[in-house]
Amino acid sequence: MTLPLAHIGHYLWVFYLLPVLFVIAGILKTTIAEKRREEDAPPGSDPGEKDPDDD
Amino acid sequence: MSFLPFAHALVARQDLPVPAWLFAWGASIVLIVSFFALSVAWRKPRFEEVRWRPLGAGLARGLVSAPAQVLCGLIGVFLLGVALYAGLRGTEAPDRNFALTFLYVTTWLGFPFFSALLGDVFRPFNPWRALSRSAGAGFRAIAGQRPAHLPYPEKLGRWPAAVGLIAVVWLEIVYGSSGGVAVGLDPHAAATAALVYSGYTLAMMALFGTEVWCERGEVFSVYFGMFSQLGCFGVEDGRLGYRRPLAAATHWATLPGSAAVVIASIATTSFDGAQEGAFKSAIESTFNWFADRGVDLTTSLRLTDTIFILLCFAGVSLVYLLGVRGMRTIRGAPSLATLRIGFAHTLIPIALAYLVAHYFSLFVFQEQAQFTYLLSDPLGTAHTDLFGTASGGIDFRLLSATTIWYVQVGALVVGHVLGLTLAHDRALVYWPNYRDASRSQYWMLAVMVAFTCFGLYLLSVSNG
Repeated sequence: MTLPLAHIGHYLWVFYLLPVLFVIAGILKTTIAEKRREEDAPPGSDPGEKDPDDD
Repeated sequence: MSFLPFAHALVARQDLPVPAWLFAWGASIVLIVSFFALSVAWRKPRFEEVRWRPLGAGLARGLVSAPAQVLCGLIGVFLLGVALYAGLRGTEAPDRNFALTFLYVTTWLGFPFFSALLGDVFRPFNPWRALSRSAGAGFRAIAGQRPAHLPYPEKLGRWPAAVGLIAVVWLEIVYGSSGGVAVGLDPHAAATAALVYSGYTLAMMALFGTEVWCERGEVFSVYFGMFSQLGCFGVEDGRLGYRRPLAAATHWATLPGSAAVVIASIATTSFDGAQEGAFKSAIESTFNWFADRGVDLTTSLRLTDTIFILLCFAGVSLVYLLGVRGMRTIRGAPSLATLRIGFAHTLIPIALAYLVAHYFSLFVFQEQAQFTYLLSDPLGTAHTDLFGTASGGIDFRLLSATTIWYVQVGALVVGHVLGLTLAHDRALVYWPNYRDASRSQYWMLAVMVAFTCFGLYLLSVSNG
């Protein structure tokens, strides 16, 4: 059986799109996780680690 | 009719160790690593202060002295005159006529490269500025007062330059195509356009003032001046000095329309790279659609290309605005308008990277023509040999296809890392907490990765 690869060149753009999609997926995942952490944190507390430069 | 293949003069299939698309993955990884490195190690803005300091007194004043300005202005006017004369009186073959290579390669591509390295080198050579200042000096001598100017409509900002930039490129790559076959721009048409532009520019300078128009509306001044903001030399108070590289760019985009200028630069380069590659089938379909409805072939092609240039502009704008919109989700974010203007300068290194990636090889090869047979025989008549170099030619072995590809990839990666760095630095101004600043840049990272992958895709399709 021959794989239908004759026109695969037409779809090479997908390989260039994948890194963009991975980055967007990573951003969405991180953003949602950060939102959840902020919502779960008790009121008035800083959910993040303390910044030593802020002192 | 012979033609100058402006888009990608000399492209060939490269001998690469891995598939071309893997370079896009590699470049994306470099950007992601750079993003995390910036987030960790870059916690205070560093580019907001230009830190200009004068060069040695003699050199600082000598290079920007009145005699030097006059000399540079004369050179600029003389070269424009030669280009106009060659275009109007020389051969119709674009590759044998001095005008086209001088205007569209040496000037249009050369000044961005050198401006980015050295600062605003076009300003003293700007022929229209020189002519307008001479006319102003003449007026002062006769009338005994400075010429009066209209106040410039500040809302217009740099929009005239953005529109003009698209028009200059449109003339080259859209008007220069006809009948479904790329035939390059007729030198006579280029010279006529340059004459019309000269008249328009001098009129605007007379109306609004030379320096005001150079800063906002004169296409070449604004375009080359934009890249000069990356350079390490600048003039302040009539003295030439050294400044922190990239720092001047942080104060460039304050005028309305500045973002449009840099987006227009990226969009037009993208279109030029895509029209024979990535967009080819879409362009053909649209062209056929117009042709099937009875529109003549030349008009169909120009209409199609114009639509795709505008689509590129809209697409690049949309990607940038998405990145800016993403920043708005971070607490303490300034208004959308502030962010849109505040981050526009971060696209300048990307515009330069696109230029280098798309035109580096063309520039290297065509400059050999410029400084050999085009210089000795500017009209292309084959009867003149001013400097004894008329029989010279282009050495196409100077750069291999693989070398060109690595330069293209390197330019895109470096340009986008610099863009990311400028964006991170600006974010620290709006979000003094470095964590918020880093979070605000998630979407700019996506923008940079998108521009990098898109740029490499365009090149790989065009080269393949």
